[in-house]
Amino acid sequence: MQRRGLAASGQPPGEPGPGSAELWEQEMERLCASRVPVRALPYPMEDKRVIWWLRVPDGEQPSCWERWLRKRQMERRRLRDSVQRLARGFGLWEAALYEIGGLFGTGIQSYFTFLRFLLLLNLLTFLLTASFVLLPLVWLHPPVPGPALNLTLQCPGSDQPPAGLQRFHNQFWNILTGRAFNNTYLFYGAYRAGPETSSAYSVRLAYLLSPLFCLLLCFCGTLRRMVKGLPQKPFLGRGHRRALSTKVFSSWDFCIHVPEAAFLKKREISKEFKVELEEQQRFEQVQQQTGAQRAYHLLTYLRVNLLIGLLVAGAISAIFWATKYSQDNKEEELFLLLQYLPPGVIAMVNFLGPLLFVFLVQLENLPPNTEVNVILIWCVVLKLTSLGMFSFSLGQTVLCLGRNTTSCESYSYNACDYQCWENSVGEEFYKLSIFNFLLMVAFTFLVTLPRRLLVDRLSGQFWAWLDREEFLVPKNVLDIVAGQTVTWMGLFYCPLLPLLNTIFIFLTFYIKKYTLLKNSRTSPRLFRASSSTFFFQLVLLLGLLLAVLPLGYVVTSIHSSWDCGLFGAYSAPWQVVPELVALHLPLVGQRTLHYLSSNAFSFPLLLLLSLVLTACVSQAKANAQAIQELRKQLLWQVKDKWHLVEDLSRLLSKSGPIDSPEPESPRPRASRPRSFCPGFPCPGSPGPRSPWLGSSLGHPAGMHSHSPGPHGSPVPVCRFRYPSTVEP
Amino acid sequence: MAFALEVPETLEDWGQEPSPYDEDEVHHSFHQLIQEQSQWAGASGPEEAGLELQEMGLGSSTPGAPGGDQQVTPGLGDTPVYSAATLRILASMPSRTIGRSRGAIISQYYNRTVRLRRRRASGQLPGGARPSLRAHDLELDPTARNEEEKRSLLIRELRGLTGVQQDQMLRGMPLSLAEKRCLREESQILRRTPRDKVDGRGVWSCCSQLKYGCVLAMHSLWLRLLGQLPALKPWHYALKRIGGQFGSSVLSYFLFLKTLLVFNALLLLPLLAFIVGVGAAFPPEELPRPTPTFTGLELLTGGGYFTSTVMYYGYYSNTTLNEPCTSPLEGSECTPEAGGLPYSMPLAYLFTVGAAFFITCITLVYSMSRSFGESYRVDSNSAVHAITTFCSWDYKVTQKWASRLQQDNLRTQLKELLAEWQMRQDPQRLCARLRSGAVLACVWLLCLGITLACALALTLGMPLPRLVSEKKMKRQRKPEFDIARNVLELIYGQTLTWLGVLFSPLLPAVQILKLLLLFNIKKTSLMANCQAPRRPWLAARMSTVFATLLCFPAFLGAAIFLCYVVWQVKPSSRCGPFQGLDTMYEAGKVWVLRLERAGPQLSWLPWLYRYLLENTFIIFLLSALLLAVIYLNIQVVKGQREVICLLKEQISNEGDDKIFLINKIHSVYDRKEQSRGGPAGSSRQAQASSTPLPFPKDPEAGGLLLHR
Repeated sequence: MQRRGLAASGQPPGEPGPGSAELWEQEMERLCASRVPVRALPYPMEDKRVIWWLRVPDGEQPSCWERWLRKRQMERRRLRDSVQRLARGFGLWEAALYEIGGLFGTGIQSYFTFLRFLLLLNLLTFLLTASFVLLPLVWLHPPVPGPALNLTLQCPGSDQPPAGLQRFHNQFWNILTGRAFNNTYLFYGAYRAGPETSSAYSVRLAYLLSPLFCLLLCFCGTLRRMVKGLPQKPFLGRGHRRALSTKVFSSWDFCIHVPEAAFLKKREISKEFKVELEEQQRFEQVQQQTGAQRAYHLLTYLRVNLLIGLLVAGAISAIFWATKYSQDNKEEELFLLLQYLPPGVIAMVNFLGPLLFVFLVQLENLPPNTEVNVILIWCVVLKLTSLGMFSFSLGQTVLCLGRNTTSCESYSYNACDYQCWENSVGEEFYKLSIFNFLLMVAFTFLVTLPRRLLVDRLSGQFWAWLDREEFLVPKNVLDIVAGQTVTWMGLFYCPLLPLLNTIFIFLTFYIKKYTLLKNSRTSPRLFRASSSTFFFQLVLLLGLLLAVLPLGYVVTSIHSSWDCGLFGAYSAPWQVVPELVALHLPLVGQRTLHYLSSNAFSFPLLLLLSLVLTACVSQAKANAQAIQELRKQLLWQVKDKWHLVEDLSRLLSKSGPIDSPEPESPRPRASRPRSFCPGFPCPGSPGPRSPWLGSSLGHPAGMHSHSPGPHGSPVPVCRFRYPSTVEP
Repeated sequence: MAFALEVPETLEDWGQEPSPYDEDEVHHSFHQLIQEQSQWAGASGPEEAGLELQEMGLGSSTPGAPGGDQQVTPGLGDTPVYSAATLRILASMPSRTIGRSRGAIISQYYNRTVRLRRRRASGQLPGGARPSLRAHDLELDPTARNEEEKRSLLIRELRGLTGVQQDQMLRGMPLSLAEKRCLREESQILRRTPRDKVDGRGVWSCCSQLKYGCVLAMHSLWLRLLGQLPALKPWHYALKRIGGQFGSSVLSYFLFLKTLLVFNALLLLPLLAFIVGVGAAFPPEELPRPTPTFTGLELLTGGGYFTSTVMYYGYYSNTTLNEPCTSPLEGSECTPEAGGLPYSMPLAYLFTVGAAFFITCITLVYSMSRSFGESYRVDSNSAVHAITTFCSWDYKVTQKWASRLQQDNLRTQLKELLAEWQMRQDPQRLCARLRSGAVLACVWLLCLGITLACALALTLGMPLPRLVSEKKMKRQRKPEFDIARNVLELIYGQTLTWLGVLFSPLLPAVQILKLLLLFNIKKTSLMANCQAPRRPWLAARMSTVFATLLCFPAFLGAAIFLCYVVWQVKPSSRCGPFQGLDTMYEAGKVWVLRLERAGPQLSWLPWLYRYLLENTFIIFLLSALLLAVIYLNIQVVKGQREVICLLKEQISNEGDDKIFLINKIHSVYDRKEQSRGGPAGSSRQAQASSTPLPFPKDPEAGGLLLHR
């Protein structure tokens, strides 16, 4: 009410009557006296300008200090804006993203934003590696590798490679398998450096720490983005729904001035509405279930999960055997095809698995919400475990994990079959990465495009049923997360893999955009951007964890290849760090580092962190409780208000004919109640129709969006009675 | 103006009859009070404004601030008095009639019953039971019915339920007992008739009597057991008395003491079982020197006779007891299939101390989180005065002394609340509070210094009992009870115990004895010598402060110290379980080596040890994950704060709207009075007295309402 009085500040306050004039004056006084920054006030621009002028004392120039302060403020704001722009990739793909968001909604837009985020992450990783490892290495001129140490190994079998192998080794295949780059900086083996004492800058340390640092950076970036997409549920407590009215009245972007943009915005808003309504419907469905139904659903749920779990186990064992087979039969003639067996099996499993899951889940007639979640979670599990399995089986063949071979006896790796095992592992990841990308390209141009052409050209029942391909956000996100995980896994063995991935992601963006705009239809099921962002980041974090564990194991406890790479002379790559510490740091620093890396430090740290976590969690719980209480209070306030409104409207409609004609006659006021209802600023108003109903059913306040208007008619004035009025 | 709004609230809650049916009585009695209030209002300033409404409704307008008063009384003069009709409307606002409006309750429970019955029906006969169309219709619009109809509907629906469900439903209804009984009778009569017709032998009543008798007996037994419960809580009565006489601040000290007692008991139990017990059962073969005679002075110094007993580290040997499984509880060390693994004393020592610390840590964290949860409650201040005044009486209290105790308690609580409120009003007091806080911090720093200094001397383990005993003898005469100092002493003592437990496994027992003595001494001296603190503090935050002080500097410091000792310090080479080792931690390594040599059956144990404990990589990874979770939680808390701010703003906006509407209503009534032209309209008191029952004055409205 008062706000409206102020909104009319442009004109003299004569028209609305004396009451509102007073209100307006009060509000102006309050505004002038308060120290709230003008920018934060919820008024239009003209009003803000007026308030700003009113606040400045008359005839007083701003002092030099103030002017300087304001200038600094402006500069700081500009700096912050530019940093934000930097974080958003210099406005890369901004227009394309906006277009996609308008045409297809925030859910699909979030996929493309995710792509951009990953692009930046990879670029950053590459830049770090290049500046800390590559440039110093070029600068320092690495020593020419001497003649390989001729260690005699007791290797079973012959050393000559079969002659038939040479046939396939043309240049193209070499590029695809990564063999062509074996002696370049793409792989671990080509990095060489003199002993540590020779130069002040340790390339080894840089090589070791830069992947770790990059992973840490990625961790922080992902976490930060995850926080942005934090679902609102923990804030608002269970069962909270935002009222539609906030969307109706506050989602238009008033900066839009091009008709196309306005069209896009309209579509975006309508999409948002659809999503909102769909979620509300789901929520109500869940609310109406009974106990037996719930138990039945749980049983179905368990059965489906068991079945899918068995399938996943089968798929994983298939990957295991495929990797083993391809590594065992290196000397076969079909080696080149066999080389692509593990990536092929992984791709096959990841292609067939979700289809099977969908089939199985649809057989069981689960609720749609659960259906999506089950499929999604199992897809994540399948994707990540297949990668984990792949790396484990690699470890088994290369590092002899869990088996005792004679070739592994002298070193802790299979020194007979692998001259430089890091290179082999790097090649595997390189292949996996390339294979993923090629598969995506092939799928786009060999499956989706022909399908669209056929569907568009031909008519018939089959083609109508087939339709264009659906653009499924979760599937695409999982693909891209898997690619990123592969990159992270291979970071140590193949330091330039991020560059490769950057290029792939860059191309993927355009290919996917083309697919989305031209070849596919949007899924009938819409995804919320707010909840999906959190989920994507969570999956990415899981992938990061999956990449860190083997890396940590390899770095701390596996012997490097003895005749290639930087760490040949060490028992494990991490041994560089203690040696350097002993070499360059003073005694105090050494002691400190030793203490910091020992259990004596880590256990108290763990203790401290858990204590802090407890404090945080309990605070969050207390806050959630407070929110619940406040919401209840708000509900009661709103009910009170509507009660008062009803009484007032009844009074006015009754007193209207009786009243004498006064200068300030209540007759014009009698029409007031009509303008009351839609004017109330509270989004959570339960509406005049059903205050008691709302409370009795235990619905939260936001469930009801009030219907404006019924107050004009005298009928629904009082639909329920209060005991005080009827019990004389 | 605010207190005029507040009056009906006070009256309603303070009214003699708590029953919800005497609304009109209440309205009638409003007027007298309003008159009193309006006279009183002239005398007293705006500071006397009602607490609750002022904070809930007006939000921004503090008592002294301009703006609030003008807003509410646009058409009136200085006297912020409302007409009877307005007050009646106010009193019937939904938030003021929570739990009072019987019609609403009945319709609400009717809905619940319908839902319950329907759920049952759909669970048993899917698709078979056809829901009645009428019930559907009613559920859509239950408020349109009048009360009698609703009541009969409710009874019918209650009949549809089973006995147990019906009882539960009735028990949960916020109606008076008589009303409930009436509802039950009616629904059961109607239900019983067909069944009586069916068997008609009167067996039912006999059976049911037996059943109800059993139920009642069980119930009374349960009640009696509940009555015995305070006996299980030690010092229950004493704590109540202290709380009643000295307020919650002094009480919090004693509660803290009790908590410490629990901690020490938890710490002592595993030590007693796995170190002291075993050590006493299998004493080392040769003692380093002859046992000195016991003179009694050793009780104070802790030296002499005690040096070579189970009390101290030096007594325990590094032997491995080759008996099969002295302690069946420690499964990791005593797996039977390993052919009776040896009970390695050093390892047991290390692990038991570690486990005891871990248990303490968990308990501490739990208690801290609980007290945090209590003190973080965001707006506990807004209505706490009203709640304390009106809702804190325990109606189960029957004995005279108990009720007097509770009275004392309430009085002290109110004093504290008011003191805090005043303190918030007065910035100078705030300064004083800050100063006292600073003093507290100073004292605490000093204490920590002493503690650390002591910790250096502690490696011998000798001076501890002496210190403890000195402390316990010292304080007898205190003119006033100084909570801060006493609590700090407690924390100090507890820190010493935690620091010394590695060197003297029986130290928690000593501490327990000390605490028991301390409690009694303190209580006696408090009762005999001290007065209630002149400046009562609210203890809600204090317990949090105590827990935090105990947790962060004390426990964490002790844990860091112990970790340092275990991993870095060389133990004495002549005595103790770790003689001959470089650090205590090496005991684990030795044991793992021995296990590896023993055979491959238990190869997973060394593997676990190597990769989970020795390799710090995993631990740091875990720390990173924990950090991430903490970060997420902090963000959640931030978001919640924002939401709370928004909600508060919304509530205050609604309050503004309410005030605006009330003013409108009031002005409408005012104008009506004026238009009637009677002289009564000008004088408010006359009008008020002329309409004792406001309802008949408005026949049109009444008719309208009755029609619906």
